[in-house]
Amino acid sequence: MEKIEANKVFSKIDFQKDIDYNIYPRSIYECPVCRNKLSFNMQNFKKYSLNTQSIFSIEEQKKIEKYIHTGKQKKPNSFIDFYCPKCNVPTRIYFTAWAGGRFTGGYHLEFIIINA
Amino acid sequence: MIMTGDFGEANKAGWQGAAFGAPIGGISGSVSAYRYAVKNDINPLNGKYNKPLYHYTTTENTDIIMKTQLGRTDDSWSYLTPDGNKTPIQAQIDLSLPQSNTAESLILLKPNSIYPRNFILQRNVTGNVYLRGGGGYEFIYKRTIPNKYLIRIK
Ligand SMILES: [Zn+2]
Repeated sequence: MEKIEANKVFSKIDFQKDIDYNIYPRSIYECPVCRNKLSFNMQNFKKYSLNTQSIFSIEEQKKIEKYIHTGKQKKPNSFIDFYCPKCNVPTRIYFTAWAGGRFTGGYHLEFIIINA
Repeated sequence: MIMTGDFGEANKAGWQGAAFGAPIGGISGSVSAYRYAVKNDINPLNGKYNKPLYHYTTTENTDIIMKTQLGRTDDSWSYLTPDGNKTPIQAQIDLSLPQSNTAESLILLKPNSIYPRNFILQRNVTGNVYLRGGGGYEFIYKRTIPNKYLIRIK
């Protein structure tokens, strides 16, 4: 199990709805295990905003939750779970969905957990 | 009776009145602080802003805000407006909302929730931001606002 800061594996870690409206920017994710690249856009994070559902087994989820709890950092309010399409490593992206500011909102990518 | 309230807090709020254009040197003693507070919509008992304020946004944003808070971090600015009766299109124009903000949803910030010393600006909304007309009124508050102070209106 390993925690990696989002800026080490993503090309863009902030999406803001007003700034990124209509320009559809992408964030390129590079798997730290196999270097395979995956593209994410704002819609991906919107879909998982405040998500609590996981595709992992209960055991895998528990392992991740336990690992997270040992850290001091506050747990972000959203996550996306997936298996790397190339090396199959279970990966969780933790991000914060927020809203406010100048009548807008966004998604801030915090860190990933690799269950290897 | 009203004099038994926390004047220290009201006074503190008053001293921070620079953002409201108040003459700092003009306030002396608790009676002046009391008058200042009442005149500036501050509750003299707790020093908090005592008028309702509103935040127009999308349904998705309201879902996030009501489960978390208004704003991202304590360094970020929260935009609010005193008028809670605007239609979505009127809010979009008057408040120069971003194109992504449909204003179909509305959140009320309850009176007596926040300290006015954290207001960094109150002003008329100018046009041309996002090609909107402007003309509304906005408060800018430098803090996040916990969801316990917020009510979803629609
Ligand atoms: Zn991989």
